[in-house]
Amino acid sequence: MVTHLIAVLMLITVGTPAHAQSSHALVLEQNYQACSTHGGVHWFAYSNPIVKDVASCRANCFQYKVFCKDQASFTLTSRYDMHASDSDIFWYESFGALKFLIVAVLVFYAMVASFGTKDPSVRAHGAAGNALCVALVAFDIWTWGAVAVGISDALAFYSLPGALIRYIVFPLFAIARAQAFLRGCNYLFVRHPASSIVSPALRSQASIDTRTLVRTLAGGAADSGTAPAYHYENQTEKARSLRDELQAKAAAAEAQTKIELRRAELAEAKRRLEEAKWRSERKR
Amino acid sequence: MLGRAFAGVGVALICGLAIGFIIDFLHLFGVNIHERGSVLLLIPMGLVSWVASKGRTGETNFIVEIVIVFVFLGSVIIVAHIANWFLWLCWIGAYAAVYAKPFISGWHFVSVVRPLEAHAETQAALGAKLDMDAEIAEATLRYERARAALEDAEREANEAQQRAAPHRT
Repeated sequence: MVTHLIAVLMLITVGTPAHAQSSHALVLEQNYQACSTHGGVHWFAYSNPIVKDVASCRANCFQYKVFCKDQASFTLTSRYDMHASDSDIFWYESFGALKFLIVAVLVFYAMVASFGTKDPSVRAHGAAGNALCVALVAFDIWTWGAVAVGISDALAFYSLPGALIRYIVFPLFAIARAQAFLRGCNYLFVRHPASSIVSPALRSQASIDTRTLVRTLAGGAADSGTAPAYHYENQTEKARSLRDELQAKAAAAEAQTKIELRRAELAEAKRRLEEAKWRSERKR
Repeated sequence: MLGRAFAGVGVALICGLAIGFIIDFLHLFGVNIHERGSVLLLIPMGLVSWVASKGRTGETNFIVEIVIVFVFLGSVIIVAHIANWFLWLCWIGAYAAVYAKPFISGWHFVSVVRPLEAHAETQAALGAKLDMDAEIAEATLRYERARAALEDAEREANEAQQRAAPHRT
């Protein structure tokens, strides 16, 4: 799965830009050639789609006007809107896979950061804030490349909030949640050293390897406190849940022991009763 | 944290717009102020404010602090345009009056007290973790005893049931 993702990412990032750049460069070359005998390109405007379905169109989808320096003008056609830059074309042609990958990374970052909120009482608020930021950035990512198929009024209006999301919301979110992300990574991916010894034994109802456990716990006791405080806080939380699990299993075993002892007493009483019956029958 | 950061950026943008409006307003009266990179002073001034906020006895209002920084920034743009040594002296004096004392005590907090606090926090967390590890050891002992007792009880129960089975010979 991961290999496939990397392969798709490489295909998109290595393969597409060359094609995207060439399509934009071709248009510039076309403009240059049109005005080559008229003193060069002055400006171009009035880019309009000339086909209904610009998404499935492969060539000559837009027409625009090029004005040369000597006032001569030409109507030319292009695959994409003239306002589209290389990056717009690239994002339009990347088929959403790279966008999806970026959003997936963001969602992962936000989820891990939610686990790393220092104060558990505000964890829900933190998660809601993270979700809001990710939703805003995901919306912005969704619009990337839309310019390639024409600038609508809505898209033109969106340019300012889009820039705010890209250059303010996203960096602030990434920086403000960096520490929570590190804490969350530690919480999610660093196990308590005793859990690899205790948990399998608890699952299989087997005996715990107490010697290894003692060695592991003694190793932890030798720690001089070089890791950050959140590491020890997370380890404490995990140790607490491990202890609770052990105590619950011990309590269950103790209760089961009582039941087994009663069963033994019952069987003994039954045996005595049978014996008494047998003796009385023999006397008769 | 995230909410405060957004509020701070919002206030900073409003303050930046206000400085822009003031410069445009002065332009109406023939005072043409050209800003040439003074905005970069925001970085050291922000750092000074942050350190000073640690040195104050009361709580520092984050929004008010941003406004103060922008007031000093706006004034330095104007002072730099007028380029009068007396105004420069006044500006530096005012900045020192506002920030010198809290900055010194804040620097002591940031460079001495905070690392010690962080160390104490780490040691307290480590202590709690070791306590919990000790409890794991105790819980393991309890579990092992209970498991051994259960095995004995099961064996005893099985033996008793075998003895109780009817065998009249």
